[in-house]
Amino acid sequence: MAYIKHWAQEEKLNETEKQKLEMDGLEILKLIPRYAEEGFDSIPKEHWPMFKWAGLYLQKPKEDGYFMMRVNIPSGLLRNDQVVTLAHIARDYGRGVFDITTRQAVQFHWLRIEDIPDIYDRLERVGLSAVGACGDITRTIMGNPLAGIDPHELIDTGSIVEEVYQFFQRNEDFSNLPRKYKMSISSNVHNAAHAEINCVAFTPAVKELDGKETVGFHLKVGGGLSARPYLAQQLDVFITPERVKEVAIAVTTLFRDYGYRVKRTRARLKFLVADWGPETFKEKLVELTGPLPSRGEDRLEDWNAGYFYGVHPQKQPGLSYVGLNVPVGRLDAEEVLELARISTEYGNGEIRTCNSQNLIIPNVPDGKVETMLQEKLFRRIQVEPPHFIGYSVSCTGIEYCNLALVETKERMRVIAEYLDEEVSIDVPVRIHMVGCPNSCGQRQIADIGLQGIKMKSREKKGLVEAFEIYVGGTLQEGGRFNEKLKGKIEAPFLAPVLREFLLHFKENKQPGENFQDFYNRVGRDSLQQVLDGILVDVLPSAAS
Amino acid sequence: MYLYRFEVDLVDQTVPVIIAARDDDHAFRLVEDELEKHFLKMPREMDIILHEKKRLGTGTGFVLEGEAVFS
Repeated sequence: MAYIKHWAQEEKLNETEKQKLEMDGLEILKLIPRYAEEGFDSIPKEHWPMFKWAGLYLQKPKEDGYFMMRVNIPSGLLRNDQVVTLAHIARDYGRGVFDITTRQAVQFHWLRIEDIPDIYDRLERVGLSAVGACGDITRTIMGNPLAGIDPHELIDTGSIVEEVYQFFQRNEDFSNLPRKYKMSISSNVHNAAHAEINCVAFTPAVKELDGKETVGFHLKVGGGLSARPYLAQQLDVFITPERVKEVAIAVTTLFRDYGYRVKRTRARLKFLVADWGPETFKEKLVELTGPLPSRGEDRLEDWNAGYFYGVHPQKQPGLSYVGLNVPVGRLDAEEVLELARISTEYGNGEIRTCNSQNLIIPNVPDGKVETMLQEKLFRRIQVEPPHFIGYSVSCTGIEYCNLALVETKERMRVIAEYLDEEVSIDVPVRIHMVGCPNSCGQRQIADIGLQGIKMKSREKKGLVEAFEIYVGGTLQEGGRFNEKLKGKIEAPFLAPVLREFLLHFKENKQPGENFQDFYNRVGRDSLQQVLDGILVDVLPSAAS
Repeated sequence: MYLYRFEVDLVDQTVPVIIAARDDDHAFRLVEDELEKHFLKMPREMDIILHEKKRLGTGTGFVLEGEAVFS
């Protein structure tokens, strides 16, 4: 190893840290071929957690030996051969399930250890990898899914993201970080890569350097959701495009060498940033990078929440990109193959994944757009989706997750479709459903967040699934997490309660006013009163 | 095994309850056992609400904050 693990001497290292000193996470890659040959039962239980470094989690119940695999898609950019390969993996090994995550990655389920070597070979042949998609390591780098074609980007970040991603991929100097580590690099002025909820984020900026206006980046550090959400803070630096990789390495080095390893619950970069503060963090950073120019002019204008629906002109005249809705991010393998065909027939074969769990088909000649939109697949994977199914996000839920308390994905889809039938409204409302207090479905940044609980009530003998409602989350203007309203709604009544809640919004909003502006205008207390009234009307228990 | 975080809504207060159990059903049963041990007279009207569970291991725990603790 090229560096000294000074933390190895620390007395109070947590158990995971001790295990990582005995066996680096990437070493599991050397063992997988043997385990694949000898079967799941040959894997010692103490090696189960190390599979995360290979992009693999055990599904519940773990003893059954099925894996979830996450594949990195840096910036969400996929060539046609990559799309086809992913579809074939889902079809051949994953019961056809193809999920797009809120970090632009792709997830498979139901994989067996025997299948992993072939899946790895297939991924490698097309330049994809699951390595580092999970574990205490640099995860897939979130970026602008429109990189290179975006009229609203200052600079094409596709190659920058790829360069930084490749540096960290399988890099043993950075494979033992204190905790998961999430990076975003985007030059889209609409904050397409959710800067504020990443550990480190490069955001678009300009500055006059040597008398010349230079395009580059500002740097935010210390963001993250999980059970204790924090918004990233901006450092007083300006970074030219050619120095992004160097700065990314420096920030990661600080995290690796100074990040906390005593308690895993305080190990994320956000805790170090909170303790040091942005000034000290900057001082430590420039000790590694040398001088960096001070902050320039910020070019983030607003936040588009990662949505790109519709047909839009690209930077390149005569070409368009088409933003598509994938309901709660779930496709089947045949649909993905159909998307691959469509993107080849009408575009250049690429597709791109969005952190809103959606897709983009880029590089469609303007003259072909109308014909393409007639494709049958777009009846479900819609270009202009209704406002609820189009802006619904869900975590995996109890179907695959060990920690979820309730079913989410299919429930969110059904409720969103019901709301689209019942409530016609002139603005989208972003609804995120999660099955536990963790943040896979990014509940905290939703207009309306729905968090699952399980309840044994005074009226009912059995257990019931229920939800709590949070309102007012956004990453606009630096961000604000949503706040809980009092009241618990049993799952069967969630749809009608939301219907009434959204009808109140519709009837009391100003024309064009979105949920955030409405929330800012009326306040949480007002919405609490509205919800209280709805619960009395809708819930049988409250009415009795 | 999992460590569970519950809130029990009684008529006049909310009580946090932490339980280690093998599954959700088992955890709910154990909440009632603990409440029976805790209260001289078992509250008749209550909602038992499961908010969170974590894999049980060394160092697993919950912070109880806010209304549930202080009300």
